[in-house]
Amino acid sequence: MFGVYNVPFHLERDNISLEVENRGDTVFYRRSQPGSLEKYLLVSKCRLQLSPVEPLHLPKIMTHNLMIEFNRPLLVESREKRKIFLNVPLEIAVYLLSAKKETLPELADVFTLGTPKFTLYGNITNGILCKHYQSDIFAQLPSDAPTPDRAWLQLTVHNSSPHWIQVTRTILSAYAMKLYYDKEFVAMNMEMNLIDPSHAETYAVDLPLRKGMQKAQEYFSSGRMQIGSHKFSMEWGL
Amino acid sequence: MIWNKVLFGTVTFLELIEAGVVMLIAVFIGRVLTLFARRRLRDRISKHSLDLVLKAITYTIIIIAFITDLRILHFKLSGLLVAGGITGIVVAFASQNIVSNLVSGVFLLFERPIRIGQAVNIENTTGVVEDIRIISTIIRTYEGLYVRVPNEKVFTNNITNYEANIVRRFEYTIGIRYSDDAEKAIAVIKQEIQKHPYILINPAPLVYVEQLGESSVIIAIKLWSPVSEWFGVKTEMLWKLKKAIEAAGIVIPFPQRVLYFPEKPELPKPAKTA
Repeated sequence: MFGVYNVPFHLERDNISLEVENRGDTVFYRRSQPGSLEKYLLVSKCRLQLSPVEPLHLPKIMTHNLMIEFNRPLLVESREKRKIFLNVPLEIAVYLLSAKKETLPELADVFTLGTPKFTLYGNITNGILCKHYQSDIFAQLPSDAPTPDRAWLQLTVHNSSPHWIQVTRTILSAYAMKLYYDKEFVAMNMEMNLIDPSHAETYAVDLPLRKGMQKAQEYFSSGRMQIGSHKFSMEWGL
Repeated sequence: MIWNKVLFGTVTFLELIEAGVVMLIAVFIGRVLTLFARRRLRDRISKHSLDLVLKAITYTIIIIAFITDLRILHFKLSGLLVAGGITGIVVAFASQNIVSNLVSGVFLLFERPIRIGQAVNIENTTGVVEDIRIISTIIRTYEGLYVRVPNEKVFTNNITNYEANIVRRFEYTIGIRYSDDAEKAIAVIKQEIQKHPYILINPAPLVYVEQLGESSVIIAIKLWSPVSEWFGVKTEMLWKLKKAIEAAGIVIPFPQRVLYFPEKPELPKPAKTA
């Protein structure tokens, strides 16, 4: 599904229905599923790119952080470093690629098949708002492809403290989400360093899970929004 | 020459023009710098901080220009201080409110109990803070009215800032019939709450039987939402909950009273007359 398409095009799969057609001198874009959106594009010649995007756009961008809450807690031994796999929500972006070289790709639409939810991390006075998602923990990358509303997260958990640490959630910064995709799935790669039983840091690992994966468009890249860190410090408990 | 003509004291016409030009140039530089700063900082800092930076730039340039003008016009600052002694006392009495507002304004800028764009209630005026100036604070009420509140009043009165925290709670109470299953009603309400993106997972929503009322079992619903979405969610959710409850076959009753009558009421016998 992901890739670059010439106009006109029609996509109908996995409960997604998109149609882009020329109407006179304009291009007409219609998404009839999920939800609905119609817009005219005043563009001389363009192509469209369907790309996974950081799952923080819908219903609108309210936070730069995504909390993944584990269905069961994870107890990590001191000085242990292991990989686990989690599900993360998937949002799909439609980018306009202009024929003019100087024009940057423009985000025309974002949609998802999932249901967005938000939560507060920390207390009411100083806490931060996070997009919320709940996931099982997988020891290995499951062989069956995830449903079209979710992607995989490979999380390397490193307990650098002398204590056993219980983890029930992880928080990822938008600037640390480096999404890759191929024909089978979308995935990202991150690291979580457990500093003490109530404090951890999460980092981006800008590498695909396997060879041949393509990098997705980044909306929260440092070029577009210059304030933001690739690291998230979890100071309000794990 | 007209340029060297003394207008007052030792100030010539040329010096007066010079002072005016200095002030004009200062205003121009101030405009250019604030425009440049606005463009550069617009996406990087909050609107409130941006306004503060822009005001700081403008006032700094104006003050520098003013001091330069005093020198051009042969005003001696030391002389001004001495001469201003008595005048100062008179002016101080006359302008104590202005000074009080000014000082309050400075404290407000440092303490920052309110910021531009936030919804607040100050001295029974509720609205959105449009601007925090040196002397006064401007509030746009929800009716669209312009209200100017002197900073002294802002500083000394109770301030309720509805947007100081990132989340806010709202609540409903819904009554159901005594014959309905309250546990089922709570489950239906929780299911509906779960569907809404802006009702937060944490702090967790509270749904419980609060009261056994005269006509119904009262269920309390306490929900948290991002402060920016709070009002929209509050206005939207109640009707959704009503529809969901009714779709589950649960009835929201009208006020009612149960009256009991004896089966065969004994009527008083009429008194026999002789």
